[in-house]
Amino acid sequence: MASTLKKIILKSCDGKILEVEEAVAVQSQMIKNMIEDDCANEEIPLPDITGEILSMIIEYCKMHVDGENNSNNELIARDADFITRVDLNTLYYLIVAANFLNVKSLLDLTCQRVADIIKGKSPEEIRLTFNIKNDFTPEEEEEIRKKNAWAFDYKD
Amino acid sequence: MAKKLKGVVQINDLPDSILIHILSFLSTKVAAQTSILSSRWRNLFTLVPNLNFELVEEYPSWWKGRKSLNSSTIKSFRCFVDRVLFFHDTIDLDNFLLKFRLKRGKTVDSSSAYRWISGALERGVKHLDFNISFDKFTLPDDLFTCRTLVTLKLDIGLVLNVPEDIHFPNLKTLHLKSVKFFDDNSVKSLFSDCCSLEGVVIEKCSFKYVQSFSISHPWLKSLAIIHSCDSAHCWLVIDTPYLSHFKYIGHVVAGYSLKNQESLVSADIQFLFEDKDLQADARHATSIFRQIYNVRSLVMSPYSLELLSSSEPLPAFPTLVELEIPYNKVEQLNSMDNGLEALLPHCPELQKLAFPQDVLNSLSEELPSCLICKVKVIEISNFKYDQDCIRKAKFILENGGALEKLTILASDVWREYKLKISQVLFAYPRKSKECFILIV
Repeated sequence: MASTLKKIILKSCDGKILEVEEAVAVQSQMIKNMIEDDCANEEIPLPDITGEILSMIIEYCKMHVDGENNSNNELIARDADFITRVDLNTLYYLIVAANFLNVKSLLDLTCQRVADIIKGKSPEEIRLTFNIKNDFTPEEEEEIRKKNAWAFDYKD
Repeated sequence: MAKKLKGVVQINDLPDSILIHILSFLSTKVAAQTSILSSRWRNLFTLVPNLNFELVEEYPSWWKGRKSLNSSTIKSFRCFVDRVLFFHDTIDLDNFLLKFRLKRGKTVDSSSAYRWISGALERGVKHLDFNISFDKFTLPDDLFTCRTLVTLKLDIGLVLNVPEDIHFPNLKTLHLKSVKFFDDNSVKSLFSDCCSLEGVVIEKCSFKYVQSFSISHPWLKSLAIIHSCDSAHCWLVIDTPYLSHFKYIGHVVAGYSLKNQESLVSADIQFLFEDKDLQADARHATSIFRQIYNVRSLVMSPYSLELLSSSEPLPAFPTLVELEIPYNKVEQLNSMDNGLEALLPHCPELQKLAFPQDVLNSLSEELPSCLICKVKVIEISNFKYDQDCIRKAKFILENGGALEKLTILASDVWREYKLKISQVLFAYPRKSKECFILIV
């Protein structure tokens, strides 16, 4: 039965070719649109997505297709397991790829992960974690703090 | 990895739209703290379509490390909300949450709150969550004619006087908490012009000024009325032909009229015990159960079961497949004349059953047919290591012809006694060859 399922062929920017079942591939709204427009019969080249990232995304989509009948809590637990294995650099690539392929649940999961990393950190810790260069003068910084005083002065 | 690739090696390489999406998962306060990271981040947080402002004082003032909220904090909060809303002038709002819970004597002035809600409505807010403590406050009239609202949650502890000409064309979910309804007409108008409404939750609301709480809606799918106050004198009138889920937790009110409940799939009816006239309670309660006879899944409190099983004649549930009686440690079970055994013969299609052992009173000779040939899964909670409980479990094993799984929840029982229970039950003959026993 498995052989009769339609496969979609995806090609990463570093030349890796992956065959994906249609049910998994349509988790991507972009690919779904291409299939509907009958543009997915040949291999689909994906610029800016490496084979490694693509495999991860397919793993994620497959997990969601296979887990359709599972309880919500189970899926949340699997999502958490998936995302905590990912380092920050890979996370950026996943975000860009999820955005390009339009896999909404993965985009939300990855962005939520970045937000969770930001939470509870001081501005200086956030800059260090994410390698953000502070280009404000101390006077400018002081002015911003003053304007949004409530956000800075009163800790939760 | 992927080092060859041009592009994203740090967070600043992500486009604005994605950074804004990331910030939308943070509270507006934390998102605003990112404005100081670098010039790129300075105004990003003002473009997030989700805004939430919370000012909550929960700890006592002697609590160390926590500043008590004084008037300058409140002023600072007010400036912040005004400033963020000002920057948000051109953006459509998805979510807007405004919450302040302050100690007595302190409050954000009501004119500011009014301005912020109006501001959110002007910006086309879709999901509005408004949780405040005011002694006196009037909601803006625009709220009741807002075209963009999809979700409305009000937790306001105030009298809600709904104008007659409400219009919520897109409202799908309405959640009212701690609201006092003004009068019968106010309740009626609330549901009169919201054609997209699918879910309603009425939680801890006061029915003091209402004689008949009436909900009539052609498309409503789910309704929950939970822990209402001052409701003993009130009638509950529900006419909802599309309703599939109904939940009622609370004391028995003066009367129930449920019409057009043909679509109902699941019901959760948890009457809470009150030292009142048991027979009157039973009469009112039974009228609910007669109206929801066609559900597939039913949850009921032990007191609901008591009221139901003492009624004459007992209503039948010809399509019921799942029945759950949750175990509640706090609630003392009364000694019932008739327990679960009285109800089971009226549920011929039952397949799944969960109950605390106390509600099964007597093990009669006359076996309900559902136990012999239909029930596949049984879960018994509040199980103890005593002869009575073990007798009940044995009874189920020797009669459950279709039983696939029997779960015994004995959380209060010591491990060695659990072992003894399992030894006894595992060795006991079972009617169903397929039956699997689990003791936890």
